[in-house]
Amino acid sequence: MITKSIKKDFPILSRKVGKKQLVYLDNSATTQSPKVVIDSLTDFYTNHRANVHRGIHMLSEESTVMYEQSRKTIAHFFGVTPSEMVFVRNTTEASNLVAFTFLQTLKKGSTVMISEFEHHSNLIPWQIACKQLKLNFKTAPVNSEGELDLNFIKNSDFSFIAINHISNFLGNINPVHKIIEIAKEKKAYVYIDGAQAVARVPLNFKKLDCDFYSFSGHKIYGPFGIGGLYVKKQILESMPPFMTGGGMIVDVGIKKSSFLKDSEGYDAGTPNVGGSIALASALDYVTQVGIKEIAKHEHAVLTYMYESLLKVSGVEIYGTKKVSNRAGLVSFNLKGVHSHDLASILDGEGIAIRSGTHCVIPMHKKLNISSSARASLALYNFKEDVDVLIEGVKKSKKILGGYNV
Amino acid sequence: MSDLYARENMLDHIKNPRNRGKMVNADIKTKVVNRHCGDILSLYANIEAGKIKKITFDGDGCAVAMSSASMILEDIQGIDLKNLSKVTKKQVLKNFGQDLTPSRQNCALLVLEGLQQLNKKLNKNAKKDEE
Ligand SMILES: Cc1ncc(COP(=O)(O)O)c(C=O)c1O
Repeated sequence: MITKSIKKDFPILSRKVGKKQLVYLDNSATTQSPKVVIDSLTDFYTNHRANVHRGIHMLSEESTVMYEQSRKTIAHFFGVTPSEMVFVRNTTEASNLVAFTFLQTLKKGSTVMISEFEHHSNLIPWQIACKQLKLNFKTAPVNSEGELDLNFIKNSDFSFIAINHISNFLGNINPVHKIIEIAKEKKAYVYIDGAQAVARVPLNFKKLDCDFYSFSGHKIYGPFGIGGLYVKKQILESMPPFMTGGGMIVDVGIKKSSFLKDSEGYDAGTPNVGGSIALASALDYVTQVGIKEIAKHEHAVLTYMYESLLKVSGVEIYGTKKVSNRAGLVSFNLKGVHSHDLASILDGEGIAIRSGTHCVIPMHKKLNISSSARASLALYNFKEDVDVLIEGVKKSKKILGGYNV
Repeated sequence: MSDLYARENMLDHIKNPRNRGKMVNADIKTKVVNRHCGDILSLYANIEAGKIKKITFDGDGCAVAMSSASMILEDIQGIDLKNLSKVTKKQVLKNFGQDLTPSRQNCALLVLEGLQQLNKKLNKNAKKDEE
């Protein structure tokens, strides 16, 4: 069981915001790191820093071993082999990588499908690549609660589908297993944006049997600037390179070069060595706490947050009403109070939430709202944090309620 | 930031906005968007004899953006068109009367952007008339 003493693992949680104790509920934007992760960064830069794969001196040997070990740790955490775990800066880079490499291998005129409620990073790269490569671009509709129309997907013709695992706006857990099953029947490829999922549900990419799965390290207690993209081995072997240069080559000639056909083939240039080492230590931390424990704990707090918000009159919640199909976050609006004002008033209470469109403008348009407030959880949040949030929401209502936005 | 919402002046303008509403017979109108957050502000004006006879606003935005618009518009009803360009950033922020963080300054200044755009349109129209 996760107890409140876990907060002590995260130094930032003890800081104040003005005179108030910080209540951090912006975890879908980025999670905080435990001290072990910060220490691993410091340790690397203090004791082992050297470029990898380039030297035979001791520091270079050490940093190379640490770098390769980090890839192993990260791959194993998700049940795959290191040669299938491509390092990227973040989820956004992952979708761009796939859009501008793998999509080239599809036949002209094939169809790429996404859902109506993707994060812009899982929309724009496909939009642009499809135009450049003369592929069709199609969206799968969702209802007003963001629930996908699986029949539409079943009855559509497509060669590639990109979909988020957990929506960063609605908090819905999408039926990725079913989508993968449908896609398999059509011999279509599946790309899953797992930015909101990796820290919230136990995952084994092999068992899931998707073709691509992406995530950002900073959303799973790791540092900024490092993330992962799982690509199935057979696909990686035939995929064109993305960024090119040093580190990803087999041989180089003036007219022609050949490239590595595994995850290292996407390591052009000096990689984020410290970042990947710290990400590995974040995943070790998650393993130690237990991802199943985290999922259970977070869902209990989420259910409490959902129900508590629902009880505040004037609060409108977006996403599915089936709480068991939700994870990690609740987006909402308070009648008569603009989301930025709500976030501002909550900030005065030490509470950090997000307001705006959360990089999901099309779904906001579909719901006919200009913005929303979003409170999102991590393993270190408890019901008490939700209570503070609810008090803050009520206070905002008192101050601004009735103001006609 | 919390005491921002304790300001009587701002709250008064939020709860009783002055000159808020779409003007159907506007001589000129303009719409600006705060690219940082998507807040929208529309301005509508009636022009008569080189003066702003009436100017109104409408929009979808935070309290800072909307109340700042309400405050400034209250001050510029009836002014000479040539004075429209004289409204400054400093003035708007001073008028708002509260130290704002840089991101909230953008909110308060949305109305200024609207006025500047309105002014540009007016100048363009004036040129056309001369030709
Ligand atoms: C569902 C989803 N996809 C993609 C991203 C993009 O992540 P990053 O900014 O780390 O690339 C996010 C982050 O907000 C997200 O929530």
